[in-house]
Amino acid sequence: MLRWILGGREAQGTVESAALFIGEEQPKNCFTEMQVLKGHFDIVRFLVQIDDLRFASAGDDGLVLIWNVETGDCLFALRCHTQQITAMTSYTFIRGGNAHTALLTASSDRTLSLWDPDSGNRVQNISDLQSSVKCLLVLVRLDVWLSGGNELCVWNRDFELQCKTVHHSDAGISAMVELPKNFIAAAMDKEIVIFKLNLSGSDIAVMAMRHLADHQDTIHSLIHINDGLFASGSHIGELIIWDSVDWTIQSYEHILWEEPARDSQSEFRLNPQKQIERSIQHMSSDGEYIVAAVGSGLYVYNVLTKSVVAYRRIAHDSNVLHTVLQQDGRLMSCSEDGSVRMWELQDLPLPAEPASSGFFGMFGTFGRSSKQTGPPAKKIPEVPGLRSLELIGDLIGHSGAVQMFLSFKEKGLVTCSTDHLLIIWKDGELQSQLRSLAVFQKLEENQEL
Amino acid sequence: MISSPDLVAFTKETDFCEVVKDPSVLPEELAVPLYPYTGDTTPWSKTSGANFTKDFILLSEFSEQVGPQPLLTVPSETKACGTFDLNHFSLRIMSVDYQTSLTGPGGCGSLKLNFVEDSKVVLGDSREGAFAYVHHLTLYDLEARGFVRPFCLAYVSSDENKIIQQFQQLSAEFSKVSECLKTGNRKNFANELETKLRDLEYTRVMLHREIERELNNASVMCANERERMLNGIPTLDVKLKEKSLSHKDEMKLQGKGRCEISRKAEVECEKGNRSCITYDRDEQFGGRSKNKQDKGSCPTPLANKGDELASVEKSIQEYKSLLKQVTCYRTRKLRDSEYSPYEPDDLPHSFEFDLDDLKHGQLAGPVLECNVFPCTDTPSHSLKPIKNISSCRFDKRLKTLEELCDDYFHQQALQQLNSIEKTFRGDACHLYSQQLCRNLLHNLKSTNFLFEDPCDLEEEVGLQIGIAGQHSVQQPSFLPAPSILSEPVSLESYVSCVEMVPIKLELGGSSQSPAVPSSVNTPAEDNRPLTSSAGETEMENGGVVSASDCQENVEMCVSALMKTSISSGDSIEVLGTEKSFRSQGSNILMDTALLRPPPLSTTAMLEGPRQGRVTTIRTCSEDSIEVLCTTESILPEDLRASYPCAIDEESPEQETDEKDISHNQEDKQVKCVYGEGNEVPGGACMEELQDFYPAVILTPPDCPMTMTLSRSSSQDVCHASELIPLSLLDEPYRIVPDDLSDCFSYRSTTASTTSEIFPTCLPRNKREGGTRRRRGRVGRAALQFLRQFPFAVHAVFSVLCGRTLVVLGSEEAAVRRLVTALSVYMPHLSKYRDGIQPWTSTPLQLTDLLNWKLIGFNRMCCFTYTNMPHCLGHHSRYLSILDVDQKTLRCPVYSGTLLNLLVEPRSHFKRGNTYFMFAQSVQSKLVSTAFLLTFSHGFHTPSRPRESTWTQCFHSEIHRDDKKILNYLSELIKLHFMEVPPNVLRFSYTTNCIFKL
Repeated sequence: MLRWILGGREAQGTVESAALFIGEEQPKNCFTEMQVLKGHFDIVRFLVQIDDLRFASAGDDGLVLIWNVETGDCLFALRCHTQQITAMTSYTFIRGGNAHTALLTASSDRTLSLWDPDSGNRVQNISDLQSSVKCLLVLVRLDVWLSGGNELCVWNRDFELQCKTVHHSDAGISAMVELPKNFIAAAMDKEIVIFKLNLSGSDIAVMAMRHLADHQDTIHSLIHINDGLFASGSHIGELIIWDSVDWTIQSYEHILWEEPARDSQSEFRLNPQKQIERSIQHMSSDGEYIVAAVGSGLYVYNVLTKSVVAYRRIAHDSNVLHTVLQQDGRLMSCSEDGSVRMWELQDLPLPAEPASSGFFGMFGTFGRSSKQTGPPAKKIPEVPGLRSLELIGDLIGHSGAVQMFLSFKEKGLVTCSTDHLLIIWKDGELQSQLRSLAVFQKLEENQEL
Repeated sequence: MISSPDLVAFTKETDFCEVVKDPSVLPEELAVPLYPYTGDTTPWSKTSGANFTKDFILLSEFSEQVGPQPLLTVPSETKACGTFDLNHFSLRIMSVDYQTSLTGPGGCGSLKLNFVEDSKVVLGDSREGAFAYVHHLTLYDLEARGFVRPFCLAYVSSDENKIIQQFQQLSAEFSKVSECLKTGNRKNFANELETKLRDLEYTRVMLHREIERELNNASVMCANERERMLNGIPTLDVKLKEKSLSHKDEMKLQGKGRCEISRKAEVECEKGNRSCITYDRDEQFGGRSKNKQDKGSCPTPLANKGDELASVEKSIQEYKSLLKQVTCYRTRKLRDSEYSPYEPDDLPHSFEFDLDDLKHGQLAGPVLECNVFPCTDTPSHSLKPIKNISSCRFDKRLKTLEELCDDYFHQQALQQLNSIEKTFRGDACHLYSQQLCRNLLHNLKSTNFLFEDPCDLEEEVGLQIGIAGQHSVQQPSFLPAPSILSEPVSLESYVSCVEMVPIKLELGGSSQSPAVPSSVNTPAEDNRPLTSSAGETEMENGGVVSASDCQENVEMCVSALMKTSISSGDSIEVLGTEKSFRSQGSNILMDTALLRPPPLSTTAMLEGPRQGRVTTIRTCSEDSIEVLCTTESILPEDLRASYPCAIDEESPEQETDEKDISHNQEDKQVKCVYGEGNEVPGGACMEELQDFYPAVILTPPDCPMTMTLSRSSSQDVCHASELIPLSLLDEPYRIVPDDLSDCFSYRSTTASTTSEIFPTCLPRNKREGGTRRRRGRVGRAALQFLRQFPFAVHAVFSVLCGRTLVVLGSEEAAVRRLVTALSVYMPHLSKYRDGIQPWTSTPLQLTDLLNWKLIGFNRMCCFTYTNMPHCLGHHSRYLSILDVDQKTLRCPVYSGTLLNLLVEPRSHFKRGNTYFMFAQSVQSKLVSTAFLLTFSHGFHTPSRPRESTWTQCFHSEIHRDDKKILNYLSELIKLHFMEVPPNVLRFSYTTNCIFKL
């Protein structure tokens, strides 16, 4: 039915269905409590963790809000930027023997600001930059930070410009990763440019070393995998694993969700005009696996074995915007369809058994009477070691695209969305216990025990 | 003519017997119905012999002219009493002579105001079928005989048990009214006295002038007299002199004429006086002066004038004494902790002022009395000389009550009476259970927000606020009060020599002499020499009032004048007095709204009555001491221990022979009363309640014990409810089983059936009545809902486990009706949020789900003709949807057991109110379980070795769905306890089913 092409090598077979519904019972989904945070007036695009308890959110309204994840209180509203926030990152530095975490924000109004999340004050500010900054990168080791826009600028902690590159193309730098030996990889349209930071005494100079032009289309995603590898993904589904040191291609995968020959297939009838998206919007890695958000699908790749682990062509109803690979073999993805989905890598069932555990009852049925929605025929995977990506839960709440999420482990999961809301999803059981503890603590304080 | 009213027993001996209890036995009130059903005689079918339909309040007066007469009834006469003979009843209740001290052996030694304590008795008239709580009070009237006007307030009911049960409350409420009336009356009386004093002063000056003029060669005696007088009252005299000098001319003429006329009148009246039994002091003075005349000491006109002057001066002294007594009443009474002065709430400073002034001088009271409640209508009084005598006035018009008290206070009192009438309207057992409920609810602060009407919880506050709110109507007239207090001394004001009472002097049409500011300050010590010198003067004049009397007046007024009322020994009609009730009902007291044990306190039972202004609004009627003693001697030891303070209230002053006699008599009487053996409903169940009560107030960590106790009790309840067939539940005389034994019960349903006839809650105000109607409506809607949808239990489950239920429909009325029906089961999210949106057309947002748990949704708002609007589909995971148009319900299935009781008896209830109460009682059981769940240590720290049986039970026995309900309620309780607004949405991933009709 569906064909997928890996590096030109054609592989037949699928382990997924097109439409994906999870049932109403989600025993593996522990998020049974939500808290809605209101404060933004426009799309919320960025979430940055400050410490175990706090995070910052920013978006198109130019507001930066600092929240407490446990209580859901808004601690500070940082107002200065007049236009949308384009990049935000946390900046940890040592001052007076103590590590301080500050917040670095860039906005379309061509300003850069450094905030103190403890007091809500703006510590530093730079305005009238030549171009708006699209990405930020903090080099903790060198205690400098870089801003990427139409040019690459290097700043020190005191917001003093150390050096900058010449004007680049209109596309500008969309992403940067740090490479060993003071090299920086920056994605500029279809190219990856390797910059080198020359440190001579207190002066820092930056110079472009090499242009890697192997991508056929715009690079949307550039991530650090481990010390030896980094990866980039492009608009047409090219996934390239690079060596961090000598910048050679370690692996090249062209993910092509190919149209089936029979267009009359029922699942495409609903939206026949819609082109299958295969743009790699986002990637994340835990050093061994890469998960790539390819269109509305997910793709898991093992960089060590250089092989695909699992994939799901249609994991969401719309483009996947953000993914996270968790430690326990689970991954999460959020999408423009407004949902966050949790996946688990599972070994495929034996050939004799149809893989149906991923399909649950449809809405509006009695009990679990109808579990089967997709085509029942499952072909045995031809690729050895291929596992299935099973949906174990989804979080529905946002009415717009979920832009990003941020996990606080057991404290919860924060999602931000185009509907201007943030939602903290929490483990209801755990929260209930915590509240009980708080109750008894209060009783003790009141001497009522 | 007047038959002796009946004795009514308010207790019986068995009430005080130790009840041996077997814990395995069902609670007594469940095992034995309170009202045993014997054929056709149910408590409801019992017709009272009274020929009035409902309780009413009667205000009557013992008029000195026509005897006892009814003044007004609340509600108005036509509504209330039908053919009941008010005149006759007034006669009977007023015939209890409680103010014997008036004619006591003290005699006519001095002018004494008898500040008689109000007496509170229960009187019965079985022939009429009327029983009454009777509250006697006296108001003061300068023109009345003995200055007193006896009044009595009576709460008349055909149900003696109701009177006896509610004695405490009635006493407290009526004391407030009485205090209100008396406060106004003291104010008016003081004003009256002031006026009188001014007139007397004026008369005296006039007399002086005449004597001066007529006797140019003043006799030594007269000169001395005058000298003394001038010494005696220096400031006033000087001032008055100045003033009077300024318009000497007018007065000369007037004064002469008047004096002559007055003398004539006096002589004439003397003859008639013999037959006239009045005690008017003026008249007495007149009489005395005549006696002196008869002795022939001063037969000349001059001597007449002298006598007149002397009598005027004496009466000045007496009136001053009276004024002082009146004005320092409040000061004195404040020392009595039991005394609760009438304080309008809109004058918060008044009390502080009072206490403050108390420290500085004992004469501060009058300032307050007169200034805090300033005479808004101070009449422009023109001085006129007082004739020495007063005519006998059979035709004299007595002041009306409104004139006696200030208009404002009169209105206040009437409003309070109305409020009392509303409060105690209804059946006794209903009232009783209401009070019980309210008291229990107040103890359950951590959970009572869930299913209770906010107005129920705020009721007690509301009562006080309600009264205060009535003040606010009149508040503007009170606002000038502080300004008068702080007003710099104006030209027109001077301080009377008796008290520091600024008095406005308006000499009619005369020019006003500038007052010297220094004359204003009349400190307390100035009073003393003044008094004594005045006393001397009187002594030398051979006045009747001795100096020692005067001294007594001044000094002893603190104690002696405040003599309490002495209950007449032969008043066999006294059926019960306050203290006897207080001690006798000591266990019942726990349910009265006046006593509120703190929440979560085990010691609540041991604490005595609270001190403090709010809670002790009991007045101290000391005449009931004897009854108290006798009653207490019968009390079991444990009750005595819990009320030690009840014993200590005897004051040695009251130990008189007469009292001893009455003591004995009352002792007999009490025995007599016990012999009667009339059943008091509630007494028995209170014993039971006492057992369960600690469970309510136990602190949660003691849960092992608590839970077993309450578990067993709730088992008992279930048991009991099984024993009683449900088919009986709608019979009017049945008692819904889970009433008192359920220690966590929020709402007793004892009176649920009567609630159709009587208000379900005490209608303190209109909102209350609305609440009752609303309950009926809601209950009816719920019953209708249950009958219409066989799958209603699943919808109820959704509501109770915190899942937002959307009632989807295109017809607003139908949707609203269903929302109303389901609101019965809605736990409130917090105290002030109920989470119900009866009708909305805007697409649902996620945040709406947090705020609203029950939503009426307009199907037409989305213009999609699909089955379900998009916004509902999007959030379908968190919603249960009841589709009114298609008669479908989509929600998780409920398969537990807890809710079955709630929906099962749908065919047995006929009335909405009944079902409402029933639902609340079931819910209260849920809440109590959730309370345990919330506050049980063992449950949340499972590592503890002593895991309670209840916790185990919760884990093992309770169904998953029931756990969901309990967990949800528990979360709400936790959030409420932590004072965190419920800002999280809890949900679960469960399968939904669609039910179709």
